[in-house]
Amino acid sequence: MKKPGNRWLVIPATLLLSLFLNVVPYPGWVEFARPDWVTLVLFYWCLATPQWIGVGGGWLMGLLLDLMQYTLFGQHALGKALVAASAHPRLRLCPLWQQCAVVLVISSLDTAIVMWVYHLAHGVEIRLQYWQTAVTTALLWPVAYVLMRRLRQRSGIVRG
Amino acid sequence: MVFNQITPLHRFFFLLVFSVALMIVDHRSPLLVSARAAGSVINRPFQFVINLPAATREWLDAHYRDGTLYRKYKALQAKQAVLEAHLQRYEALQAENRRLSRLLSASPRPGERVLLAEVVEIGLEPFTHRIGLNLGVESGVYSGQAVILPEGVLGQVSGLGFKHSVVTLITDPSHAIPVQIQRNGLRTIVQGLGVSGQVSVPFLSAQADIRKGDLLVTSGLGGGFPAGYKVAQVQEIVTDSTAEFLTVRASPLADIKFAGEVLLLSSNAPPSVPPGSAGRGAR
Repeated sequence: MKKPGNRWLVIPATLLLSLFLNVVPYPGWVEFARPDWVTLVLFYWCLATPQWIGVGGGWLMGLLLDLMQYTLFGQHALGKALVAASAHPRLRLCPLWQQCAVVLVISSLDTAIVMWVYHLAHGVEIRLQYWQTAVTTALLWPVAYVLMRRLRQRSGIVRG
Repeated sequence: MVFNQITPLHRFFFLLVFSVALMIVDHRSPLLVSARAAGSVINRPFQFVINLPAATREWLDAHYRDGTLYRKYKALQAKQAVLEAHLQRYEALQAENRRLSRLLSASPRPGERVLLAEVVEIGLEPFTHRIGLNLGVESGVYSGQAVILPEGVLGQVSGLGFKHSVVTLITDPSHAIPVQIQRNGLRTIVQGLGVSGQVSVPFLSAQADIRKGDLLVTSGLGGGFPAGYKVAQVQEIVTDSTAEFLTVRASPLADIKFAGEVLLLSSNAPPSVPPGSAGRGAR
């Protein structure tokens, strides 16, 4: 068991890793299907440890994404605040496939917010293929959930 | 009391209002540009890690792979010879141009000034293709300035900080650049699609004379880019007998993925002299 003082560092470390995975360049053929790692990691911690990370934390993650991807301040922040806000503790009782459906809806809404702002601010044409990201993210949720839970148990973080 | 309980929903609605206000401020005014420039320091370590594999491979290639260095040297030597040949013609043309413009009594066109800038961030999302550079207003960078690589046009400065600037790449969906086909001078535009390695050439009628492999160069129209720089090469032309326009896909010649430095071109060229006014100027 790790020192009780440091165990919570796992949360910012995984969030930072997810930020990195979100901005790393992908080969062209997966560009539209890239999973939203930030949503996966953020949603997990909001479900499992609401005492550590919530709506405000999600908003800050989005703000960092805005900074790193040159989007308007608030564009991703709003989307990620929505992701964090929809992680109701009751969802933990649902089977994994139902959680997948929830992730699909939330990630789609997140994409919709980001795309809508793009459309309003820069006149970017909205295309259906941008929502491939939401599908990949939802499909990856069970794997992310199981891995993250193991990580949480190993580092001795108590569920909130 | 109702107000004692602050639920996540309350927090979300507060942040919703705050985010919208922030986006409007960020979009409408340059207030937050310096905040962005200061905050972009956090991108440095990310960028370093992203570049690490490519940098390592390059280093290993140069030092350990047998013969690679020699082959590269040979290739560069050959390229150098070709470039020198081109340069001779260029110098002759420049001299001729100077002579002709003196004859027209127009002021000689000053050479285009070139700045070398370092790429500090790359943000390649499906819909925004932008990079950050380490030079800003302080070094004379201006909005709309052309950014090129030795292979071709890369993009255009779209955001400015004091020591920092943002370049919108030609592959960004919000970007369009006036070009002409080098072979026959046909004027058109090249538009980003949000996909790296691909741009579209819209609004060409079904009868337009364009072929696979055609080189698209800047036409200089609109004044943003100086004329004659390579932009993209036509990859694919889809002819659909029912459609009014051709669907043309081209691949940009400059690839940002592994470039560490870019060139900023400042064309302080005077407005071109219309044919009729040359005589009056001489009097």
